[in-house]
Amino acid sequence: MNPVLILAKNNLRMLFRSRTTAIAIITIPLLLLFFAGLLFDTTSVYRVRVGAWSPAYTDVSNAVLSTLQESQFKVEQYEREEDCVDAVRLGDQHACLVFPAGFALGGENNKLTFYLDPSRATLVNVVLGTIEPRIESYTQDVSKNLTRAIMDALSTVRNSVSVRKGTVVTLTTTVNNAGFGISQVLGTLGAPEAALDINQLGIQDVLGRGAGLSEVAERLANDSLIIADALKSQLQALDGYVNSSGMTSSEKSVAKAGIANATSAADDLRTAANLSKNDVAANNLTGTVQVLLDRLDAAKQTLGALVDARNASLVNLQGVKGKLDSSLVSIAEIQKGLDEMHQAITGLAVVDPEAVVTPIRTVITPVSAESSYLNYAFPFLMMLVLLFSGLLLPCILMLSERNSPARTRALLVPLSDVSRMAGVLVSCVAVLAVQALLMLVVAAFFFPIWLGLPVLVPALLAISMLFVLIGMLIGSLVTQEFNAILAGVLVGAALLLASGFIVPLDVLPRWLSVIAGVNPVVIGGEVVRIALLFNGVGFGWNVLDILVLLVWAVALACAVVWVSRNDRRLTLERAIQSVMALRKK
Amino acid sequence: MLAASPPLQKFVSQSLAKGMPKADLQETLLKAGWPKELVSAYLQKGLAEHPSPHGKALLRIQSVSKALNGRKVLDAVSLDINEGEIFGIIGASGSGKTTLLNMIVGLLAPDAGDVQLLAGTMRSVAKDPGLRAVMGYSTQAPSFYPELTVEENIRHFSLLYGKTERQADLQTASLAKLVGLHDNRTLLAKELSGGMQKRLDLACALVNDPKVLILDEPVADLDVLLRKQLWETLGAIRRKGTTIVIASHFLTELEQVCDRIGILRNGRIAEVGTPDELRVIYSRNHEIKVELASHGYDELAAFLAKQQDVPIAKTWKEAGALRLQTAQPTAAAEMILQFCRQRKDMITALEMGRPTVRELFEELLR
Repeated sequence: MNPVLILAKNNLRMLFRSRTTAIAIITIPLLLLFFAGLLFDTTSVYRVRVGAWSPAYTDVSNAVLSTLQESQFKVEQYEREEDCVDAVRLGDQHACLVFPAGFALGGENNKLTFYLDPSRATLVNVVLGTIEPRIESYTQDVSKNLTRAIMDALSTVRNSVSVRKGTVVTLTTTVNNAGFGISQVLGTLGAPEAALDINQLGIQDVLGRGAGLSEVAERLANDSLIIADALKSQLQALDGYVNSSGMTSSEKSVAKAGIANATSAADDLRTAANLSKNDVAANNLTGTVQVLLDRLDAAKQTLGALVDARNASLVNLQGVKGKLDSSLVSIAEIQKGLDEMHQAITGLAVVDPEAVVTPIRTVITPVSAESSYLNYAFPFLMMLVLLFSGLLLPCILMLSERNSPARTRALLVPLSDVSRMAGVLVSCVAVLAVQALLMLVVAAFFFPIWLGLPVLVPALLAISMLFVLIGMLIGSLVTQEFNAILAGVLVGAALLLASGFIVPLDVLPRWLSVIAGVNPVVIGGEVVRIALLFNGVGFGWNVLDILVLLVWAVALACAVVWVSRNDRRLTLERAIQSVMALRKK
Repeated sequence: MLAASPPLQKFVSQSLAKGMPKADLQETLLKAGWPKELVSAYLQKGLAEHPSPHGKALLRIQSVSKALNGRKVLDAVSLDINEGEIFGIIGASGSGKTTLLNMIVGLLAPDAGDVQLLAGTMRSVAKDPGLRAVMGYSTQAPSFYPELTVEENIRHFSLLYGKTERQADLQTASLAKLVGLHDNRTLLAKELSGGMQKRLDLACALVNDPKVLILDEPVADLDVLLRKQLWETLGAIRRKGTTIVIASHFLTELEQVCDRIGILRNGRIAEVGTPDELRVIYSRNHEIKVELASHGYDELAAFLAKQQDVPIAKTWKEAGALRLQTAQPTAAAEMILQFCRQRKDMITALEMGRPTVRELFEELLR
């Protein structure tokens, strides 16, 4: 069997032989987890007792108290402010809330006073940390409601503008169309062909020509009498011809009927011509024409007036059109304004009232699926256990070995110092692995860890080795177990302080921040955090981190072996001296 | 190489260098009270080398010096330890015994000089840590894991020395049996008695089948019975051919089991030799132990002190008897008899012999 494994096996055997040690190794991580679980148990919050006093409770103050009660705080109202404050002093209440008279949102009466006992600093923080968020939540709700009302009003305006905008558009169109119609009318009325020149009507010429019209009518009636007589004689001749013709009786009858019709028409023409001749003579056509002329003259006068009116209308219409055009421009401006309002309202990016209340809102959203807050603390707990086990275990082991009666015999065995140190390293890492495994098993009940294991396991091994090497160095440098534990705790505390778990690295001085950057606790914590909380997603070994860890490992290993070699000589000589001193006594 | 007794060696070397005949030198030494056999041996060998009972040196310590905290603990120590022998190292507290043992096993590097082990050729232990693989070391305080059981301890170290699981199991069983812990093999080491812990430590020192077994105060804090058991165990180990180096305060027992003993004094090897050699080298006196029925030892001591012609080096009372050292044991015995006749006292016991190594050691330190 490999000497390193023999040494490691022996170390483990001795370590676990002591039941106390074995129990401590196994239970400390579990106890730590248990206590951490208790710390992160939020049920304790509900045991916070709050006293309240106000000279005159308002709806707002009552609402605040209701909020606290709904959050399962035990709220007790006092008759006097002094009683409420004394209750805090006596520890009956964790906090006393004093509402001013007329407590209201905004204005001067919105000051809510907390009475707390500063001598119990931790409790103060807890109470503040638990009550404040709820009051703040209530305040936010109120602000949210107010803002919601504003937003509703804005929404109404937006809808109204949207509706009215259509009306304006319609109006614009109508006016536009009206203008267009007037333009057309103006165009029509103003067109040259529409201009009315009464002289061009020739009414005077018509009046002149009316006198000759009677002569034409008489001559036409005389000509018609002549034609009718001639036609009648011709028809008589035709009748005689028909009688003498060899036509059949039926044919004759047809022909005679035709001749008779034509004779009748000629008689009608003669009658009409006689009548016309008589009418012209009897009815005085000239008078009629004169009447007509008079009427035409009257019409001419009327038309002249009409032309004047048209001209005047043209001027008026031109003015109206100008005003319509001007109105159209104004309506367009209004429409443009409404458009802009609509766009502005529609384009509002923030429509959520809560966003208006807190424009830049900090929302804490879990970045991993979890059922407990324990997982947030888990990387810290894991590093805490590994760090202190890694620091103290090798110290104790090495000093136990050094102060063991077996020390001389162990040194006599022809093994290299590297093998001896490797034995300690392997055994301690094995113990740390057991502790880590226990913690992981417990953690698995609370949140999924399996996806992160491929990253977590090698990372934990590497970090554990580093911690153990640091512990071995401490164990090599000091000679007493008490000093070793003290040194281990101090080194551990220093590493923890510069780890970001207690004080954020960002608030550290720059030089300390740089040092903290190479702190294996920082590197390890980051790896564990990524592996556990993000299932290893986004994990990538930074080259610098690898380099830092390598430098740590090599430097520590060399230091441990070097110190161990020197220490071995020193220890023996000290041992010999002590034996000599003992004998002298 | 075996270092000779420095005072005798120096005297013999200087005398011979001055051209003193060996016969005259022998006569001078015998008159000075040196044992005849030892004087003959020294003169025959020329004192250049100490003969080794087994001959071949396995471990060579050459002019090794070491200072700790500015104090020189070892000063040019030279010593050969031969293959297969049991070599004892005695010395006062702070004389450098443990430091010397630590340098032999390579846990401490000498400031000067070298410790070499025969592994084919003589190789420096300090420069070749691999040589530790053939050495077993049982320290003054048992060195094992108190939280492990007997067999776990043996098995663990056995595996570390490259044994297979099977070999380690077999060896664990055999070693537990060898040191008499087989029945207690499942007990935690810290639950063992002091004697058992010593034996477990010895078992752990043997897991690599060492060529050289180094034991620092192996019987300290053990009762007589346990010491006896341990010496028996060491005898068994030695019979397997293992060379054993022991540093112990129990000089009386040490002289019984060791082939040779080196006396370390003020960081230097004062003398090396077999127990007998040391006795004759360091004491020209014989020791007489007398027990009187009347227990009138003060009067006897006063009587003897008045005898001018029988010089008494030392008298002391111990365990209901009077002990005395003198170069003329026969004359002293006659004086004691004379005292008893005058006082009409009765001698209940009278023993005569050489002083023990412990006594020599005490003499040396005085």
